[in-house]
Formats: sequence, C-alpha cells, structure tokens
Amino acid sequence: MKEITVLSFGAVADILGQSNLKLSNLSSTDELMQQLEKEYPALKNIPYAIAVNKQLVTGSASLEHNAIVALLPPFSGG
Amino acid sequence: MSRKDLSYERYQRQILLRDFGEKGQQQLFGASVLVVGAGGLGCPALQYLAAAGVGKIGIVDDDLVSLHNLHRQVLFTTEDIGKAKAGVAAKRLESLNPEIELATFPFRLTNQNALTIIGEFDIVLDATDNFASRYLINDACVLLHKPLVYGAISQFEGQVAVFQAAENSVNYRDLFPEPPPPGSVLNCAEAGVLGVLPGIIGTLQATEVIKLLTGIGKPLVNQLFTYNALTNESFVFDLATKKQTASLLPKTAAEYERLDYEWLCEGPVSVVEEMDTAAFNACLHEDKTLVIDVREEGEQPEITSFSHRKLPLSRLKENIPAIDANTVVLFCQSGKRSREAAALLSATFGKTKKIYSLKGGILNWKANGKEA
Repeated sequence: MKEITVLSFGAVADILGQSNLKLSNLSSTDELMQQLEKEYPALKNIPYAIAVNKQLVTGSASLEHNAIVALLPPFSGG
Repeated sequence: MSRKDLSYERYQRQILLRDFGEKGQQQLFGASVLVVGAGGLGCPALQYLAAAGVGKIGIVDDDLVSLHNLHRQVLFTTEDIGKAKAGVAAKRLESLNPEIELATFPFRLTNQNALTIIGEFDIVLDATDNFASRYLINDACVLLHKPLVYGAISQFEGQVAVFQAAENSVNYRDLFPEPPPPGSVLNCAEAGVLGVLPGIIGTLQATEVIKLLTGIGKPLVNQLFTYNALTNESFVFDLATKKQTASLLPKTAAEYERLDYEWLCEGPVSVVEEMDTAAFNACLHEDKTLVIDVREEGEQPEITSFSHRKLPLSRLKENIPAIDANTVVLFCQSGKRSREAAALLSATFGKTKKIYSLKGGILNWKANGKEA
C-alpha cells in the first residue's frame, strides 16, 4: 500500500491538529488537498505552498510511496 | 569613501576565521544593508550586522517603542517607551560600533519611496510584520535586482529565505504568489509570539547577509529554511521559479507606484476609519456610541472600565441585526480584527452608520491612551 507523510506548518498544523500525518492511497497532491479540505474545511480559507520531498511544486504533483509532503503557509509576523 | 580605517582589534575574532579573513572584513565594511522593520526580527539582525562591521546600515521603521515590544525587541529598554524605534536603534548601534555609518528612515516604507530608498543599498533584509510591506519590498527588489533576505515568524515557527541573489533567482511571489485573503493569517499581535523566536530568525537573517557579502558558505539562495522552536525541527526546501510569477509583478517603476499594496493585502479593511485613543476616550462619554469588543470569548485583558458589548468576530455576521446605535466603535487586541469587523459592518450599513475601529487595539489604549 502506498503511504505518504504530510508535514504541516503554522496555521495549517493548527487546522489539522498535528504537524505530522500519515496517509495512504493518494496518488497526487491534488487528491491529497481534496481529501484534507473535505475533512478540514477551514483549510480552504488559508493559502499554503506545497513541497514534495523538499522540492516546492507547482500545480498537481504525483506522489510515490514514502513521499513527504509539506504544507507551508506564509507567515506575516516580524 | 570617507569611512574611518578598519579597526582590526574589534573584528579580530572573525578575521581569524578561515575563508573570512581580512578580505571578508573589508567586504562587510564596503557594503550597505537596509533593514526594513526594527522590531522582533530587525533588532537582533541590526545588532549583529552592526557588531560585525557592515559599513552602512539603513533602518526603516515608523513605529514607537511600546511596553509589549520589550519581550522580544532587545535593542530597546523600558526608558525608550514612546520613542521612535529607528532613532533609538541607531543610537544603540552607534554606541555598539561607532565605526559604521547609520541612516534612519523613521517613516513607513511605501511603494512611493521604496525604489529610492532600496536603491541606495546593496542588500535588503525584510524584518517587517505585515503582508503589504512584504509584497511591496519583494516587488521593489525584483525591479531593482536587489538581493532580499526574507524572514517571518508565527508563534513558535520561523521562515528564512534568500531571494534575487543570483541570475534567474526565485522571489517571494514564486513561493507565495499573491497576498493571502485579508484576515486569513494572523500576525504576532493577534496570534502571539515566543520572545526568543524572532531573536533566532533575525540572527539567521543577519548570518545570511554576512554569507552573501563575504561569499562564505552556502546561503539559502532559492531555498526556504523553516524552524520550529518547540520541536527543534528544521527543514530546507528547494524553491523554483514559476512561469506565472512574472504576470503578478509590476514591470516598471511607474506600474509599481500605481499599485495599492494596502488594498491588495487588506482589501476593504484598508479604507476603514480608525479612531485614536483621545477620540475614543471622548466617545466613551457619549451615550449614543456603541462600543463593541470583537475579541473571542475569554481573551485577556478583560475590560471593565467602560461599558461595551461583546460580539466576537467569529459570530459578528449573525449579530449584525442587533447593532442599533448610529455610531459604533469596535476594538480587539491590536486593532487588526476590529478593522476587519468595521469593514464587515460598513459593507452592511454603508453610510447610514458611522463605524470606527480603535487604532492599535485595546493593548495600545491600556498602555498609552487610557484616562487616568
């Protein structure tokens, strides 16, 4: 079974209630977003960048077994 | 250049370093860095850049020192409360290192003055606390091809990146293309911040500046570093340019100066009327004025010294019909959520009611404006 790890930061981690999440059977970042936004609707209201295996991605990226996806919201504080 | 001769004794410990040496010291001394924001990130960054002997340092900040700054803004003391941050910071740095040149800009960086000010410096360090400033600094740095050392914090976490330090380099909009919807990301005043966190992140920003100027190590060019103070976890992500970024950036200085960054980042909130503490105190004596606390249940400090209604922002929409007064003043902790609330009420009532937001929030009122 295909497993992935989701690392979340800042407000995304607050919404997911954890900073480290294991999920299975997801083949792309789009699919992952859909599933997360269904489960955590508040996620739709905040922007975040997505990285797969520590590389920032644009659009939907495919997810291999053991992929690490990071959800990075912008911070404004200084 | 009329700068005084380099003092070897002051910098001896870093001149000793392999790869740094006398050459690195001369490179710092010949360089200029603009630090935008003399707050949580700016204070430690300024301190280390001045101590390290960066030849010319510019300090931009339009704010005054407040008591609630002191847990993290370590250049300021209790005696400085009420004084301009840029001026106080320059004074401290001058006594730390009288061999360097300091330039103060005690006003807000806007798209009307940014190109001129940034143009005078070699590198920009973004130590601001709001998205409007972050986007306008990024866009100016892209137009001027200036390296930008970015740092930002939230609660216990921080981000650092280096933009535009190489040809075809990544900029902030490749990471976060457009400002988040107004109110969707809380700032330090709203969400809180561990005092030591900006100390760490601001110091990392100063480190990146020194690496860029002297060519040592591997600066975070086209990379994003993240740090979590609670878990000690840190990551480095590789960034890449995006085709669509170019369409989001102003192409010319004229186009840049026509953009309304406040509106882009804050939406309708940018035109909300704010009330200062003196006008607010006067309002408290008028029966016709309704004062509303839009903070959520249980937020401190509890206000008991004047009568008001409690309508948390999260439930404000459904309570709009209950707002009967013709003059309404909204307050929250820092004045940010109350501006949002005021924008919401203004959209409903138009010109039929006068809607104000208490500037600087209840914390500012308690610190500076409260009647004796």
